[in-house]
Amino acid sequence: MMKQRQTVGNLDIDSDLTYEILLRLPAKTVLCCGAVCKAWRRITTNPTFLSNHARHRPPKALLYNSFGKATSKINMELDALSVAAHHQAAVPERRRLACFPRYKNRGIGRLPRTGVSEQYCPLLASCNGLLLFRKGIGHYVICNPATRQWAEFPRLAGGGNLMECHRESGFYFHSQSGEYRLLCHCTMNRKCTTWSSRSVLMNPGGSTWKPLI
Amino acid sequence: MASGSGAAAAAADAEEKESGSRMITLTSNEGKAFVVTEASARQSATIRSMVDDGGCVDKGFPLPNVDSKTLARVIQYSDEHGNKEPHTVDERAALAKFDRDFIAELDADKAFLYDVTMAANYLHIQGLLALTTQCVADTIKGKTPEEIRTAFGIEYDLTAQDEKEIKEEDTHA
Repeated sequence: MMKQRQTVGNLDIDSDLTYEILLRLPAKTVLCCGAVCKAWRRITTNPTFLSNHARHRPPKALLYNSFGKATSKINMELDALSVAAHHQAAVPERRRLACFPRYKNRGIGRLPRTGVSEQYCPLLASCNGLLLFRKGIGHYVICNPATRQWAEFPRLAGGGNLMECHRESGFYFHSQSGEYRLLCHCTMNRKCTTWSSRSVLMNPGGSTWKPLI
Repeated sequence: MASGSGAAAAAADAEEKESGSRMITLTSNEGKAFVVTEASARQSATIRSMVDDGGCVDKGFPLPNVDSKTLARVIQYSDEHGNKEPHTVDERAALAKFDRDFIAELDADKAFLYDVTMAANYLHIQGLLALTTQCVADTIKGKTPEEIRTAFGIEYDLTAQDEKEIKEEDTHA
């Protein structure tokens, strides 16, 4: 404040204040702000910011579609449907959020063997505005529809043991590490049962699976 | 037991009343002193914690980061919100109208709006911070990244990798 201002618009934006301002923007503008400069991009891609932001926004219904054929491309699409304050409008505002990038189905064997009627890539859970999808056996992706970011969990494998089955048990934000984690219950062929936890930051890659028991 | 806690509550009430009538001096970076009620000063979490820590209430609080013009405007807000508690629907509506007029006036002078925003941040006045940052956020809405950079005098420093990611985000819509 004691600084000499060069232009009228030269707000001394320390990240603290920028955080407060960006928190109050709609998701679409947050996405736009991520393209302004490095400092702003650091904020808008920070998992803690995003979970905070999701809590600040008015409720929206999320419409999820996935369809495809065994050998061709699978489409996953997300649309946001505003559920607040549009009672007078005959058709609620609907906005395309994201669709899954470059996803090609590599054969029926990789898809979860479920009933015929079940959709591909089912939406399993959500946490702080992030969505968890199962792309295939032991293969998960998460999406932040607000920022249109996608991240893949590393493949779940049994290590030395052959994994017989696994089940997702929890998807949560681990605040100490700033990571989103997926807890899986795995059964190995040597009749031992393991709980495995895997964490992933909101960027592709992530760390390895960590056996818990 | 019941009468004991009742007496304690009454004592606390009396103390609160007394502390509510205390006056506090805030000094701008230009050395100008502003005398405000404690209730008004307590709108600021920064000052509130200093007062509660048994700080130098009598000596007053120097605010080296806030100039006189900004401080006067901040006090206008905290007086309105601190000195009277809205009880009726009408009173609440009046306070909401005050906020609207207050922010509309600031919105017309962006440089001053930013000063007040920074002061609200420094003094931790939650209501004022919410009001001003929402106003700044509204000016960002609908602007392109380039327009935002121009409006805030931000230098472009994104790397080729960042640009690639941003392009991908765009195509996923």
